Amino acid sequence: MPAQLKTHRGRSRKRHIAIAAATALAVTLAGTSCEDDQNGPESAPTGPGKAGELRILAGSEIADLEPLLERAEEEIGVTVHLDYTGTLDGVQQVVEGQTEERYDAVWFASNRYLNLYPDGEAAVRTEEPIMASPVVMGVSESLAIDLGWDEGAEVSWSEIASAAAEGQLSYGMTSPAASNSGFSALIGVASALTDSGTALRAADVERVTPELRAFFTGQQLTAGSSGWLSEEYVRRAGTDGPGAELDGMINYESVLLSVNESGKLPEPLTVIYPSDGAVTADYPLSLLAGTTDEVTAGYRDLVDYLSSPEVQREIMADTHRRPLSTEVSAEADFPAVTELPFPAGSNVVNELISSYFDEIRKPARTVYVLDASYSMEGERIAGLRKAMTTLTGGDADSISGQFQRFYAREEVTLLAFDGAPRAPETFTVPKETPDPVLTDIKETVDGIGLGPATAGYDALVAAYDVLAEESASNTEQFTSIVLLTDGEVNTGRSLADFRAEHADFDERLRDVPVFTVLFGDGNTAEMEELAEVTGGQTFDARESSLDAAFREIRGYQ
Amino acid sequence: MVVKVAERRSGLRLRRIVAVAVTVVLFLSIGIFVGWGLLQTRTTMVTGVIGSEKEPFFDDPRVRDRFAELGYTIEVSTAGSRTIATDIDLSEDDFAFPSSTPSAEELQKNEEVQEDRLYEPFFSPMVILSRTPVVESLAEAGLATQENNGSWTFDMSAYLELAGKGRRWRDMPGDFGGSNPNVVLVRTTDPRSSNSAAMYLVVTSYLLNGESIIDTQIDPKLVDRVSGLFLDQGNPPETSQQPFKQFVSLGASHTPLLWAYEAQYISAKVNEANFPDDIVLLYPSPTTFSTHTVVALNEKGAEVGRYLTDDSELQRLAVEHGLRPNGDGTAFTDFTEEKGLNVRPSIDSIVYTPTYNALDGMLNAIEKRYSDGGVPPASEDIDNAAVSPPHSPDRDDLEG
Repeated sequence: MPAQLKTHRGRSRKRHIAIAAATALAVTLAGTSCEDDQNGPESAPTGPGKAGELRILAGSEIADLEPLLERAEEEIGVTVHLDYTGTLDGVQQVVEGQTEERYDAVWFASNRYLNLYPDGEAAVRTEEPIMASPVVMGVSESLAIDLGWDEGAEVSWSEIASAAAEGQLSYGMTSPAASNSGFSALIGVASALTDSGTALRAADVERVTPELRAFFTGQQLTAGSSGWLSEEYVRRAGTDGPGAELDGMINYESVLLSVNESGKLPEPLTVIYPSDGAVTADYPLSLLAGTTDEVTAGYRDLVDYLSSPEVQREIMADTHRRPLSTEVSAEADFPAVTELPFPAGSNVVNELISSYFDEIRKPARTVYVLDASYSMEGERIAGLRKAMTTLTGGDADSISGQFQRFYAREEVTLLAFDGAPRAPETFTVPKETPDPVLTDIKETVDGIGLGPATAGYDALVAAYDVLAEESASNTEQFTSIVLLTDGEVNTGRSLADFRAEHADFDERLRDVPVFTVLFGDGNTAEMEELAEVTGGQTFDARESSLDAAFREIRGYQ
Repeated sequence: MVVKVAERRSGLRLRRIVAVAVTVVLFLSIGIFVGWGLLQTRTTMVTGVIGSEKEPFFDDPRVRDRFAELGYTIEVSTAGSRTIATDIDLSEDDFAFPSSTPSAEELQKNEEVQEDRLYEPFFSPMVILSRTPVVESLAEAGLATQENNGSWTFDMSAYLELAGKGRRWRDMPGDFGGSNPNVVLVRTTDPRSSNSAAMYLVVTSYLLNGESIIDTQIDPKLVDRVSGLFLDQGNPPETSQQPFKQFVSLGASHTPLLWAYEAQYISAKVNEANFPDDIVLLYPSPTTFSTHTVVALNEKGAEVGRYLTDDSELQRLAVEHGLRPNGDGTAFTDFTEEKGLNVRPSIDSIVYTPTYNALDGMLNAIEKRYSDGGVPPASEDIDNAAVSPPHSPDRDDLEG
């Protein structure tokens, strides 16, 4: 039977010959880490798809299925290549057609956002939900008892909002612009607090903003991925290290149950299933339009494999996600959760996300410590300028770019350095007419001249000095420092000197994380150590671009 | 490669298609042809594009074996019924098999197919699926009634009145509602692309239009009301199988009420292990039928249409997939009785479909509401008199 390339939306030519199993070659599952670019060395080759292979662009939530997917190769002869991306970045790639000839399928926690865009909806030929997990709230057991939220008590989102507004509950949540769990939580909380009983409409957003503001006064940690959020929650629950301990986090039920099972927490999380509902992720494995018969056959085999009772049982046991097979669901024992409707229009969703960043959550306070030594000359400084252009709204037309720009009320400090730190320049993005300030930021970055030597740690201390002079507490802002250096620090303080000083900082400063960017010939080990000491995180711009790294960091600011 | 296919639709048009009669001459000639084919020990390849809900039927090895005995290998691709009617290049296909009469008729018109090349081998009534605690609540509120034979009726007019008032589950009688803040709404698929949701529109638009099948005069107030039934649910699922899966696996709290094909229920109930006991099948009153119609594009396609209609083995297998044969209904009732299913032998309260243009006009108006981001801001802005459902229907109009 000759292969027929069908390009009709929604059409799939049915196979009659099992091609996939026969032609599969032994290639290992090529998973790249969250921070790697999709063009990384382990990525699957571009071009048309091959029989027995499935190249999937996935949300990082899927990473815990890697062992199962590796086995798919032995059991059904389908080799899976996974590249990870954030929710909105992934949607962007699909909508812009960047997935063509690179991926055969996408697998995000939900296709709801994708389906709000006609081009996104049309790019998917068929989709099959594989498993489910509602986005709910985990609260430390002792606080749950104190608040009377234990033993399956009925707790609504407005009760959670009250506790947060009264300062009884601090929690972490991922960025709605970077991660599906934060995105689903924002939609769910907004729907519940609006209490219209129907999907949110554009007019509801403004009306519910004051209540959302109360709810989000409790948010003391933001993150770019649900995995990092849960690791950071666990780390802070331990005794050592920077960052205030949190009372809870909003995350997938599956993540909360897994954290509890890991035994890494001093006290377990009580999972609160809000009585007025939640938004559930259903992880649809989605075949992209234009795949060949052979690739489609592999997709179907993989869907059948993942939907089989055996694998569904394994998914439930290993990842604590709810099975979507009739047979296994009957064996499952998960609490009932009311499903809140997800808005039908992209304008409602986009307005809600914008309001979240510009008006609702506490503002960001960010200090950019930027290497302006001679080694940055040429492409590197050009890359930095491009990255900052994106953050000042230069990429406002893109789906993800519009939410990665500097937000209203955000305070941005630019601190360039070469052999010594230069004078910091601070900008506050106003709520109304932010453009002149954003232009100022861009022009300041464009005007950074280069000089000799690299005094990275002196500059870092200067950044902390800037923050030390300010009165706002960490509970009023998301404060963080970004350090970009492309070479060894060769003058001024050493890392050891910095560490000694950092240990003596007052608690407020010690809790400010440094997000370090691996770039050029920077010292990877030192950047990783620095991130660890300050409760930050490293972002790799060596194989992707500074633009991509800076955009990813936005999820943590 | 991403191809953006223009949104075009087929429509639904009320017209009964005579498809059962096959002349003896033709039948004999097929017999000879098939006999010849078998002598050759080779089967004839026939390709077609079908509505996705029939894929399990064509995938069934018994169906494939039977076609092979008859001398055919059927190769199918799937697409939404509306897409089949208007958007697909059928030059390589021998038949198309959409899931509604209007889609078939639109296709017949577009492809200039003779009327005697249309076959309606089976159909499936649209139903509502729910769970015992929900149905108890509905019964107490007067929306659901159990008939003497044990089957349940769902009062669509009473439902529309309740939904029109924005009644929440938490305000419903019984134990189910709890703190559920959602308005009592039936979950459907996407009316812009899915046949199942279009069937829901057929029924609801009839009732909200004062029990009158809609015509091409689009009443904006009626659009407000029917689009609310879809948009208030939020972002709709893409296929009919998706919400079904969620309904079965995630329970009543996730999906209290689901608009579905009766065949989906029967097929899952009979074939799937551990199908939940508390799932209840309700017949909307009125409802409508999804009529699966083969549009033969050439003689090979016509043969498939005839066999699906006349071959008792294929008809029996269709029954096992929950489909109702259009001719003799005994196989269906025998099967459902044998399996102990609480399925009605006949459905007597049916809404006929509007013309293609009328339904297409309404769907376009709803589509515009989706792209505008929602129905008008709040229910208080809408003239209440106009959006209230019509007076309770006169059943006599519908029965028979």
